[in-house]
Amino acid sequence: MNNMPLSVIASLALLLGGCSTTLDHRLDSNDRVYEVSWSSDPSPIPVNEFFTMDVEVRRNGTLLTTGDLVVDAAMPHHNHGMNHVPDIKRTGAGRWHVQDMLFHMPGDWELYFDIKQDGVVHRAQEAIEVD
Amino acid sequence: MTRPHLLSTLLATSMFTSIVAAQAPALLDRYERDFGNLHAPVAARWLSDDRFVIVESAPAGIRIVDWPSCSSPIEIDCLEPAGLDVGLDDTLYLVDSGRHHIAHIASDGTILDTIGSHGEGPGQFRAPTDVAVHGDRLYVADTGNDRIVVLGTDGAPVRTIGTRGTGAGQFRRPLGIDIDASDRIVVADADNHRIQVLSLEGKPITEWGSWGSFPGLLQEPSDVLCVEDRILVTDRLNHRVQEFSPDGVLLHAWGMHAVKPREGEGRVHYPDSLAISPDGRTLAVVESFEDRVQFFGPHDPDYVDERPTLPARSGIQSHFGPIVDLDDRIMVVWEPEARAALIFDHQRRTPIRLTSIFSRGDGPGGFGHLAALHWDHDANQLHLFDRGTAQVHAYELDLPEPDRPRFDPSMARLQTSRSLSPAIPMHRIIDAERTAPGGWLLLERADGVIHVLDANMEPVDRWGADLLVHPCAITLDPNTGHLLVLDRGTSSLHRLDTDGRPVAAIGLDGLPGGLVHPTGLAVARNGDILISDAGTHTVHRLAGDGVHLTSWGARGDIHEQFWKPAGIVVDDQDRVIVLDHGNHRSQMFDLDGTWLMTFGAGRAYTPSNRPPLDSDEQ
Repeated sequence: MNNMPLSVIASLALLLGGCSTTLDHRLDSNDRVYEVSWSSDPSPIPVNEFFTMDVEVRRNGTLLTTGDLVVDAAMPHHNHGMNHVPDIKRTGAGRWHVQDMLFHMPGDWELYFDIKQDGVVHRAQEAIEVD
Repeated sequence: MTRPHLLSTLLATSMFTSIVAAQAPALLDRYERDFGNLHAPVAARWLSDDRFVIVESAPAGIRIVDWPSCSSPIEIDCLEPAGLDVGLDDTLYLVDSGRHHIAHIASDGTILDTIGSHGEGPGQFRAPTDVAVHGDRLYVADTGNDRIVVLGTDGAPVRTIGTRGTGAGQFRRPLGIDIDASDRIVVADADNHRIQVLSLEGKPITEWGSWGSFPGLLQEPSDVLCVEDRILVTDRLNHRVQEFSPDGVLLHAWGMHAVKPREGEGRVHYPDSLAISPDGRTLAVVESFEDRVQFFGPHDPDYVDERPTLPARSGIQSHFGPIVDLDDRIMVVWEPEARAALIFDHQRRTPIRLTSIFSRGDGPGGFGHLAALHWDHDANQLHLFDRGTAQVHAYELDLPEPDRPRFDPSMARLQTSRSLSPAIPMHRIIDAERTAPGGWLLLERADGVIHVLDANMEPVDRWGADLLVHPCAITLDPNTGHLLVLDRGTSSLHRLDTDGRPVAAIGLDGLPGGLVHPTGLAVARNGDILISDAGTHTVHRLAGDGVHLTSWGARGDIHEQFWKPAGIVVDDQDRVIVLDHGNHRSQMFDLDGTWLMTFGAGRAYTPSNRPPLDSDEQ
């Protein structure tokens, strides 16, 4: 159990707790403290079209009741980020809705989920290829 | 102080069209001449009789220029000179950032009195950097306290303005200050990358600028000069001067980024401060980094600068430095202009770059102004200590196998970015080391203390408060676990045991050229101590007991010479790597000072591969 990824533990906790998510992407923060689930609309993410996201953040399978979230994205191979600042709203405990996301060019993007808790930012990230 | 009437006769000057011209400005952008070979000049002012005063910092002194003759340096008792202004009686008010006071000086260098003391109370300073004389009052950029202090010229406290922060009327590292023609305080708010304007009572009036390099944006502005209806700004990391209207409209930007160090002749490189002549027809740009002051006259509409604006030679021109860390494979260097950490595999025949970590802006994990970095191979963690944002960023690296190196922009992943305890003034930290048990030692120069943190970065102790005066670097001796502290204030190297108790002090006045502006400190496997000195452009090697063994280097830009060497490290093969900051490169030597290699972000030279002409290497 100690070596089990947090996302697996989170999935078990969700199943056992009867609390499920419909979000189709799941990842751990880079320091393995938080679990992030997300989905986009439309899906897959289109090129140069605005899209929205729903995001859930859990710790040990429990949705966060405190803290904040910032969502951003960049193309590290091209050394730039998005040319729009997304609008992020909390919709409930551990849940956020993100608008005005825009991947303005095709290629390799990285999505960043920065969870701010007690003066510390914990990042989760996922590589996305858009074409 | 009230600026002289000027420029109005120049309004018929044709528009300079290179950047932005919202209205027809009078410009002082035509290069006329320079004074070079100075010793790290930091500030200058004209006296009312047209003589020109230059303040040098390494070593501390002033020069009086009665054009075309320039006096020899006049030594002044000043630990770290910074900003300068002139009173109505032509006496000088010089900021001594190292001693946390304003020195009131006659033009022959005699100190008449000092104003202020170290602290954060009324009329006190912590590492101030600039002063503006306005009537019978002094307006001081109290940089270490992130505020403006107003005093009478007799030293009587009047008020303090602002606190640390990003809001209106708040500051992050205010570096430059002046009073404009409308009696408003104008501040170069460096780590907020903006200019703030306040009333003399401290009420915020307006502000402009944010981080970036497009015209009108700023990167760590270092000084402001108010001239009639315009505000001139040294946009330091953009290597240019920008002129704004009183409400922040960009009028003109010039100087631009140097193609290579020493270029000059109108190209500015890390401009620090500005001064204008009494007749308003000459502007001086002080460039400590280039040991130079450049003078500019009225704009010449017929002049076209045909020099290239891109690097003349192939390869990335990187500013490369000034801080560095390494282990037996990885070397990490901070690149200030790009706000990037460059990661090299230094065990290849010539070091190759594996990745660059870019993270700009004030968002989560955004880099500001790094003070130190630390790479821990076993933990696979790179810690970046960021003074600008007062954060500590931790990255993990997905390193390639040693025999299959590759460049991968996605190699680094931010784990956390955290604020430290309020007891730790992260914005004043200048160096960091990790102890064997996993804790941290953070050096704060302004208060002369070492903050001891546990593995969770919680403060547990403070060392050196009664010992250190103006410390500038720390390093751990891998053989003894002792902490070595280089102290410019006492011109000595202190050795502290693992509990922070002093066990030895080595006097460094006897080093060749003395200890002038030490910047880097490292210990080799055999216990030898390496010190880089930007003031003498030298590297010194001492035995562990302090006996001087050898020194090498001189000011210059060919191999084996340095221009303001900064960070220094020793690898597991006893190769000494020196960040030759002023030449935008790194040089590698053996412990005896024999040159092995010169390399940068996109080039490398070895004894078997010297460039045809050394001076072409730039």
